[in-house]
Amino acid sequence: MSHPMVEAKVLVKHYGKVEALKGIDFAISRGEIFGLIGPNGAGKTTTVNILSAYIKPTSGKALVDGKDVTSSPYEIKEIIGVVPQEIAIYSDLSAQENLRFFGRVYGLSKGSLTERIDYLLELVGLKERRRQPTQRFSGGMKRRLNMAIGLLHQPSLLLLDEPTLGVDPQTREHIFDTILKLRDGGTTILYTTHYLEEVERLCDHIAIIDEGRIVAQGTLEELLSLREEAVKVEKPRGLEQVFIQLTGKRLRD
Amino acid sequence: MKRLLVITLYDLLILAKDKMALIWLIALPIGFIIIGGAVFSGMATGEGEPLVVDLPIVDKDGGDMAQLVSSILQANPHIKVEPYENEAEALKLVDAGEKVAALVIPEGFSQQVQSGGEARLKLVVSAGDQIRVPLVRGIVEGVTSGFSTVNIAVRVAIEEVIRQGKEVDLGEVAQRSAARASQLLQQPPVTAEVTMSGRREEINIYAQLIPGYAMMFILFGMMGGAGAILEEKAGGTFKRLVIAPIMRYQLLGGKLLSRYLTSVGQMLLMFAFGYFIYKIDLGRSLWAFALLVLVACFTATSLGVLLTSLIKTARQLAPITVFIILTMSAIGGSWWPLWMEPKWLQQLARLTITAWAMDGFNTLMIRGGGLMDVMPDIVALLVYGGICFGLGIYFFKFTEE
Repeated sequence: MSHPMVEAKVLVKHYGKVEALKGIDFAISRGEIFGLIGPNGAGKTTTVNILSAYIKPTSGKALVDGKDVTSSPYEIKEIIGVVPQEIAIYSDLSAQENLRFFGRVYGLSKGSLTERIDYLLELVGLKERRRQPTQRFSGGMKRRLNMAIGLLHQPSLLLLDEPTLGVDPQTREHIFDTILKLRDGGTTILYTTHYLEEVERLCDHIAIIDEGRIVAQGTLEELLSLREEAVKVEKPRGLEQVFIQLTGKRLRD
Repeated sequence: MKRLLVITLYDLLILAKDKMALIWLIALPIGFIIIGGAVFSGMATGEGEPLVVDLPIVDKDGGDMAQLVSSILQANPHIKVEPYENEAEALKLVDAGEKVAALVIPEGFSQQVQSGGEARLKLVVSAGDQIRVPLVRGIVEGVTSGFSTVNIAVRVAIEEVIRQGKEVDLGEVAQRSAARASQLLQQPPVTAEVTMSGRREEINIYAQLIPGYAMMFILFGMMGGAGAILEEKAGGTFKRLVIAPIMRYQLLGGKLLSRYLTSVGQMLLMFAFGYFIYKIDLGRSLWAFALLVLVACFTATSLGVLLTSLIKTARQLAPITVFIILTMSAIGGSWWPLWMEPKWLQQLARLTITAWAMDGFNTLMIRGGGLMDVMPDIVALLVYGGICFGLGIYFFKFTEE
């Protein structure tokens, strides 16, 4: 149990001629929220895809709970939960049916699944709408259900890939509260986003990724100390200044 | 296996909740069967109007024999005689394609028949009609054959009188023998008795239509299944399943099993509809029929896997698969029997699933064949399906790499 929950060692990923990751290194301790921030196309989702054993790295190693994602994908899939960037739910099914389906795919027994579904619907605030087809849900409700599915099997490591994309402030607050509750319950969380205030608020450690490279990492205080002196005086707080200073102002889309 | 069945079960549940998909899979094929059956039923049962051809007749002779020609033709249920005075006018109608044929009875026709001379009718037919022209020609040739008999009878009578050296009025002999021969011709002494032999005397058009539409619509169902997987890939639920702790064969197997069961259900429903509503005969071997249904659905599902593997987006899927399905249905015998096609096209059709399946269904349901008779079709479908399935699995992409 001494090893970190996640270790990425010189992780490289090529899609044809495109180098999505150019040898990144980072580690996530157990029970912490680790923020991976970067502009669009920086390599955040590729990192999540490798850690969830969805794709294989071109070279380097990714270890989850000490196990290599390439050689032990099924053991890793049992202990990780993924909340993808896309709202990956079946719109013809109700919230309850979506949860029951994915729960059974994860091999949860009928009794424990029913209890778990009740708990999660309560947690994400969808208990009253459990039987309604999700095609009638608002964007925020869908996001919350998307998250609940990732939590079904009580994963030790939760990979959240931009979970607040396009949601209103109330839903965002609800998601934050849920994440903090999970962290307090001992779940390790990898949180990717490009909303810097979210990282400032939630994360214990942060890595800034740009064009497939990690350009800085540490605690919020350590990153803030990287700011140029003039900026420190002008804005006493503000990760955004560090982010722009390290990644530049060039558009990445 | 349990997780594979969970995926199958929920795939079927999602399908059951999709009203448009149900209309596409069930209501539309049944609607096509009803409409198609109504269109073709007259041809099959003989309940439709008999084929009647208008035949202009220009009588330039005006004699007894000319009138006899007109009355014999008028008595035929397939001919409606239209008297014309002007030959040029009648021939112009044929030339313009407004009439299929016109008959000209030349001047002196009656006299020639009655005297045993050479008599000739003039039939002008349209070059563009391949169905009604042979009918008219056959009927007119039947009439001329009768008049040839009269003519021969007159010649024989005259020759016999001359041979015996009797001094009689040859004109009267000719006239009398012609009249008698014409009279006898009304009840010909030599006729052919035609009887039908074999198992079926009547074809139920639905025995062709229902398997044809069933094959076409399970292929459309296969397209829907392929589209569902591509949509899941685009929407992220497929990725979520790939990330889940299940083996890839469980994931793909679950998806394919649901498509396969949907195809089998769809096909059985259409055959049940035909059996109970249109009284189609499923053949003498239900085992052979069931095996053919299961194998045809396997092959269609396998083709679906291959298409899902080769096509990248749902937008690409529709034009490519619609082209493939309509081509296979047209040349493979879904819309009309295979034997109606030219030989070379029948050979080419063997490249399609539809042709093998339709040959099997026709053998069982129309020709009264059994299991061994459809074994070549079943083996061909299994080989076809096996190749598509193998290639489909080989090329299938679970991730975006």
